[in-house]
Amino acid sequence: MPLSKLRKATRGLSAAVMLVSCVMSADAAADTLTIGTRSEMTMDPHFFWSTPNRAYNVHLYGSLVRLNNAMRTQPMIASKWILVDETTWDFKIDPAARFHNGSKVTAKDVEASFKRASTLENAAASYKGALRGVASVTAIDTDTVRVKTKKANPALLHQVAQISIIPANIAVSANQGDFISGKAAIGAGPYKFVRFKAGDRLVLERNEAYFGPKAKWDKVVFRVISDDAARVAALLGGDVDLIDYVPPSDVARLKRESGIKVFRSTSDRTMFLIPDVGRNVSPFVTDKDGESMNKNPLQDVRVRKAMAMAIDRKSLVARIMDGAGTPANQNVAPDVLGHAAALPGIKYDVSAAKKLLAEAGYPNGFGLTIHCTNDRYVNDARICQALGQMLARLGLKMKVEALPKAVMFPRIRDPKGDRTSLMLLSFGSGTSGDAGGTLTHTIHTFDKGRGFGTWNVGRYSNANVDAVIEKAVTTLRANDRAKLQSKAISLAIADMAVIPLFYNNVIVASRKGLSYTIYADQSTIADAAVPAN
Amino acid sequence: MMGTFLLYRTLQAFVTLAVVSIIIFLGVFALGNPVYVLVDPSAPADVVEQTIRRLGLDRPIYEQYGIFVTNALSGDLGTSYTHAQPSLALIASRFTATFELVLASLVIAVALGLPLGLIAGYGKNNWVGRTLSSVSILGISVPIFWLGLLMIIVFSLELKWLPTGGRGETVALFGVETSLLTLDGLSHLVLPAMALSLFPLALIIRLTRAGVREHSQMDYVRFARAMGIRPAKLLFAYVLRNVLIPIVTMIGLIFGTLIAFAVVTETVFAWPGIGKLLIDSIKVSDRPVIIAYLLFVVVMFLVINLIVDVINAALDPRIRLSGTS
Repeated sequence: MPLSKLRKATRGLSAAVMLVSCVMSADAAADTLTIGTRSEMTMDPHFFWSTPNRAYNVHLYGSLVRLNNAMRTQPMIASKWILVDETTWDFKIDPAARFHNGSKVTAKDVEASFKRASTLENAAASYKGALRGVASVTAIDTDTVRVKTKKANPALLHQVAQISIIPANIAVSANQGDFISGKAAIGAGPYKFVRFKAGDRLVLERNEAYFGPKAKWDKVVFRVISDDAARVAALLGGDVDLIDYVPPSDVARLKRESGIKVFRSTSDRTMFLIPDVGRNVSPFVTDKDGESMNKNPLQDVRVRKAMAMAIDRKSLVARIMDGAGTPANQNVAPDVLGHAAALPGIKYDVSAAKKLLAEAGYPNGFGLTIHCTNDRYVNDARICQALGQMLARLGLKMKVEALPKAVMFPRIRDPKGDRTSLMLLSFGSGTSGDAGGTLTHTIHTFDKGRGFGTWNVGRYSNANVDAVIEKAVTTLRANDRAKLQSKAISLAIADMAVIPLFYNNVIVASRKGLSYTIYADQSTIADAAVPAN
Repeated sequence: MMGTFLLYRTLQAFVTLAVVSIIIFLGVFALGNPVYVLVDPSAPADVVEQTIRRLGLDRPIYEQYGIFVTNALSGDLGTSYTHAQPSLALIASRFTATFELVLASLVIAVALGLPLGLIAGYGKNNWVGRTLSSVSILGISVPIFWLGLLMIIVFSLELKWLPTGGRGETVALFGVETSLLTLDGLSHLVLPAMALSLFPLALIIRLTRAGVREHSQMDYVRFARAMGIRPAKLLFAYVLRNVLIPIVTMIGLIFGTLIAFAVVTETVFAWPGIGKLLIDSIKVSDRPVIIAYLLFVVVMFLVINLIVDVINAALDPRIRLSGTS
């Protein structure tokens, strides 16, 4: 390794300089936290709905309820809520809640914020997407907000947690530029806006008047460092205290550094494969010689099971993901409500898989292209290549096609296009707080009109499973809902509607002397970092 | 003379812009619908469809182009889907960061490259010339991301002399944010500017060396030498002036290229410039920014070429500014 030699060569010289720089940096404010973050922020809190943006907003703006690290709901601006009837929720605003400008948070502010979030012009990823099934949000008196849903909606608390609350007059008048300059960046969150420089940094300071528990840091600096290697270097160089989205391949090295701590925990995301079971002829399935086939072997459940058994999940996680994951037997992660705990693991057994494939009538295999993104998930293209090799061992003639997400996603979402025959997808559960999101979007029959099966690219369809999923999304009691969702998962996995691969991990690293609590949806939260004892 | 020249160039610029805008539009259109890339996966289908309609992305391409041109003529190149900011304003706000990076690296390249090139070319095939010329090959062929990471490891991680990346403290000068006037800003600028300067530095050394060697053989130099003009005056007043013409042309082009595509350096050093903006926008299909950016680059090159022509005409009276040359 030329790099390590170089490092050794310069080590002696550096010792003296290090001493000097330590003395110099000692007087830097002890209570400033600098975070090297992968994702750029959109300052207008109602413009672009994404998990990273939500994480920035949570610092500055309040929401009626907020999600903790395990994606459970906690009171924030709403101190309590009452279910008036199945479709009516009343949220009581905490009388102590204040905006940064000192004014009281009222129900009118909440109403105006929800209105702005769902109607903002030019928003390509509108927050309206978070409010599925919400009929209206109205202020019924100064401190009560009434939310009506179209049907009984257990995900509502997680949904309202997505919406930032700002003063009503700002909600009406502010434009996007006002949030960038900070003029309109007035919220009710634990931190206040100091300064934002596009593509560079967002600086926040503690809101001393915050009505909830005091923020942990005097000052927080989010520095945007989108390149993985540069982010790791910034931590090693002491320029930042904490970095998110640590590339798994760097974990071993970071752990060897004495001044660095690595935090790792399970996320709410699962990686899985979607086979095309909907079409009698699938465009990327061929026979062994590359000629098109007049039937689709992926429609045979034995073929899908054989494929599932031919995948060595342990090696996949150990070698490709450098240990950053856990082999999965379903598409809902263990900590998520509705996870089917009783489901057995999927055995890795190539010879049994081959037998099953022969039984299905394909003793010599067939040709298949696996599609995946190359810039969306950690190591996505490498995972795909490894899967291609594993399935080739089963006797399939595999082709791997890795595409940028800007090309891949429009392609699979076009209902009239070719889509894919086998594709890699990852799905999280943050916005429903249970297995409901994954099930309605990836397992339920594709139904554009009712908004089901949006990501059911393989067009799996099972009326029994649909019935259970639909019943679950309107079941308010958590225990009953979890039982239904576990049942739906078990039925779908018995059909191998999707082929589970592994549950993702979240990895964060910090300098020594900090302790960080991982958020399952990969949100990067300043107050999750505290000085370690 | 100058008037006709400028008028002709302006007309030419408009034609170029029109043609390029069509090509860009076709290319971006082929990427597919950007909304599918941007939305959170759990957004319901009807919201996504509504969004597509509201943004006008369901219309045929010629209609979308028509709307774009109409808006563009009134100065509106669209609002970024991800940054919630007009795309031109976004580019402008990041432009200064790239501009000062490129400026710094070109200053390094010229300040070192010209003298080194002169030394290498003036001496008759001496070892200095040979060494410089082989070292400069290294400068052209070393991949910048590798060099950048190496510099970070040496100067930031081991020696801890300089920060690993990012833009330092800035101050406003005539309304423009610059980091050239603060110590912190300069310390952040050193590494990326050095990394970025290597390629133009190597090119300038080679071009200068070749030019000096070529011109030393020419009759006017021999006559001048025979007339007893001092070597220093000969070199700086006569040879350099002639050698500079191709170099100015090249610097102009490099300047544009570095500004438009300094993306690798900006990524490695987390420099918040426009190259990084372009790559990030392409990744998430932020269509208004991609289009505005590429048009901006076209305009920039048109302007740079114009300036280069004017400078060269000043350097060499034989070059005339005309529409046809």
